[in-house]
Amino acid sequence: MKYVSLRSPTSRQALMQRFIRFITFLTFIRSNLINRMNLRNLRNLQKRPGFIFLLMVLAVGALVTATTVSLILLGLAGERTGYSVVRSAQALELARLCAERALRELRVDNRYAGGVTVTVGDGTCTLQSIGGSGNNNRTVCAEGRSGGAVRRLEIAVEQIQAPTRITSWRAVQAFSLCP
Amino acid sequence: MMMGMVMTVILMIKSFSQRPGFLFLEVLLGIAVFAIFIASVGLTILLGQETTIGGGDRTRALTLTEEALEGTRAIRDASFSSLRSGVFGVRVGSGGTWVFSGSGTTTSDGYRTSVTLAASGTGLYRVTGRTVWKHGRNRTGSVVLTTDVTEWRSPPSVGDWRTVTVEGTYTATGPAPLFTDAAVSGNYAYVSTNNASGPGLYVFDISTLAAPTRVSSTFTISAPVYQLAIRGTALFMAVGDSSREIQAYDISSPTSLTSSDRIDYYGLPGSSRARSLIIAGTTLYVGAITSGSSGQDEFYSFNISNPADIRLIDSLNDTGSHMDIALSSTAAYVASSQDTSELRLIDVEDPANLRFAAGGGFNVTDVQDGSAVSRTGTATLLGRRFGSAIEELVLFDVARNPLPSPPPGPWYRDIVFTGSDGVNGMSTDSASCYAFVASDLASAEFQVVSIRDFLVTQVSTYNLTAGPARNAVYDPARDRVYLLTPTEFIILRPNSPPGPCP
Repeated sequence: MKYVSLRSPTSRQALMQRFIRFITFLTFIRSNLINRMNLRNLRNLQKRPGFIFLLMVLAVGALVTATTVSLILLGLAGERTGYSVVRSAQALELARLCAERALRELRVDNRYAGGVTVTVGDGTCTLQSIGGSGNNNRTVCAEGRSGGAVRRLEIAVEQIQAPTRITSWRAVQAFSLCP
Repeated sequence: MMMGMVMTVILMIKSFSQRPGFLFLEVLLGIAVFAIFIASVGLTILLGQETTIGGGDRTRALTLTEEALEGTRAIRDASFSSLRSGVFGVRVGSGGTWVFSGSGTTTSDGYRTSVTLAASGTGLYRVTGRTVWKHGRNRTGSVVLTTDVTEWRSPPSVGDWRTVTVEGTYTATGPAPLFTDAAVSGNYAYVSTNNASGPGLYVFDISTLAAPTRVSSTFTISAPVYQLAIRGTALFMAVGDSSREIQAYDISSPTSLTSSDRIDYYGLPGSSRARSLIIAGTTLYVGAITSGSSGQDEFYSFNISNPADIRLIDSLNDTGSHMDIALSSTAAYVASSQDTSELRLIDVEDPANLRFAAGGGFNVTDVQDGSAVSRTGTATLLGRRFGSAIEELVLFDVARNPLPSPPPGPWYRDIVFTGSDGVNGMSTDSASCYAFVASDLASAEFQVVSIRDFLVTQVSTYNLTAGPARNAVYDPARDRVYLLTPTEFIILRPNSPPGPCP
C-alpha cells in the first residue's frame, strides 16, 4: 500500500479528488440500482429525497433508544441485585443469630427446646424445635428472613458439652434434619 | 481527516439543496432535535451507568461488612472475654489474627466499616456491622448487618480440682454390684454393674447432686454389663451375654425403665466378648476380648442411625483384647492387651473400611496390658495394669500425628506402687487440665493428675474407705466426677468455683 503524506497540499488535493470520485461513484450506483429494480416504492422514495434520510434517522434513533433502555434496565437490575444480596446476607446473619443463641442455651441447659422467633429490625429469625435429647447428637435448625430473602442453617451437634463439637453446619434450601 | 469530514458535509448539503422542500431552517431544526435526543440519551446512559456503579458500591460495602462480622466472630473464637461493648474497627493485626482497631477502618477507596457491640445478657453480644461510603454527590450509601455472637465456643470452665470434695454418695446394699461405667443423659446417670448376679444397670436421679437417688430399681438385665454409651434416647451397653453382647434400650422414660424397653441387640461372633464401646455420630464402635477363632474379630463398627436396627458395618481382627476405646476425628485409640502394642491406633475415617493406622500403635515399656485410654485436646492418655517396673499412666502428644511419635514424650506417672489392678478406669476433663484416675492403690484409689503442659503431676487424691476405685467418669456438663467402687456411686466436686485451668 502506498502511504500519502497529508501534510503536502498536493497530496491533500489528490486525496480530495479521490474522495469526490468515490462519492460520485456511490451516487451513480444508487441511481442505477433504483432504476433497475423498478419498484414502485423506491420510485416514490426517489421522488421524495428527504424520506430515506428520515427513515435512517428513525432507525438509528430506535437503535439508540433500545440500547439506552437496555442500559437503564441493566443498571436497575444491578442495583436490585445489590439490594437483594444485602437482604440475603442479612437473612443469613439472622439465621446465625438464632443458631448462636440455640447453641448457647443448649450449653446452659441441654433440655432447651427451641421453637422461638426473634425479631431484629425489619427481619426475623426462627429457631425450629431442637432435635434429639441429652448431650449428644442434637440438631439445630434456624431460619432467617429479611425482606423477601430467606436463608436456612442446619446444624448437627455431635456433643454439646464440652467442648461443643459440631458435625456439620450447612446452609440449606430446606430443612432435612429437623422435624 | 478534518478536511474529509468538511467535504462530506458540503457534498451532503449540495445533494440536499437539489431537493425541493429542504430548507436551512429544517437543518437547524434537525440539529436541535438531534441535540436534544443525544443529550437525553447521554443523560440516560450516565444514569444507567451510575445505577450500575451504585450496585457495585453496595456489593463491595456488603463484602466489607461481612468481613468485619467474620473478624468479630474470629476474635470471639479466640477469647470471648476480649469482646466488650463499643464501636470498633476490625482489621488483621501484626500477629496475623483479627483484632479490634480504633472506631472503624477505612479502605483506600473510601469505604468506612465499623462494628458496634452491645452486651445483651450474659455471654451474648448484639453485633451490628456497618459500612458507609460517599463517592461524589450521588454515590452515597450504607450497608448494615445485624447478628449475635455468644460464648458457645468458649472452652469449658473447669473447677479447681487440686482439692476434691465428696458431694453425694449412693451405697448399694446386698451383694456388691461392682459398678463399672457411667453415662449421663439429662438428670439421670446410668451406671453399669459387673456382678453377673446383679441387675446389670443402676439408674440414678442426679438432679440433686448431694443425694443421688436410685430409680427404676426393678430393672434387671441378668448379666454383667461393661461399658455404656448414649445416643439421643438410646442407651447402648456392652453386655457379658453369650449371644446379645450389644444391647440398646430406650431411655426416654428413665424412671420406669424395664427389660421391655430393649429396642435391639446384636450378638458378636463368639460368646460374652464385648468389653468396650463408644459412639461417634451414627457409628458405634465396639471392642472385644481377643479370640483366636476365625471370624471372631476384636474391633467392630455398627450403624446405629436407627437404634432399633443395629447394623454391622465392618470389623477388624487383632491379636489383643480391646479393653477401652477413645476417639479423635479420624482415629480410634484402643487400650490393648497386646504386648508389643499396648496402645492400638485404628483408622476409622471410613467406618466401612476399618484398618490399623500406619505403625499400628505404640509399644510402651514392658508387657503390662493397656486397661484404659482417654483423649483430650492434643493429648492421649493410656492407663495400664500394675507393674512394679513401670509407670501405669502414659501421656502422649498427638498434636502433629495421630500415632504417637516421640520425642517429645511420652510422659509417665507412677499411679500404683503396690497392688494388682493398676489403672482400672480413667477420664479427662474437656479443657485438657486434668486426668481423673481410678486405681487400686490402697492409700489413694482416686487420683487427679494435672496434664496441662504435659507435666503429669498428681494434684489431689481421694482415699476410699473400702475397695478399689473401679472407674472415674467425668461429667463435663456439671464439672463433676462419678467415682465408681464395688458398692458406691460417689459424686466428687472440685473445691472452688469454676475457674481457669491452674
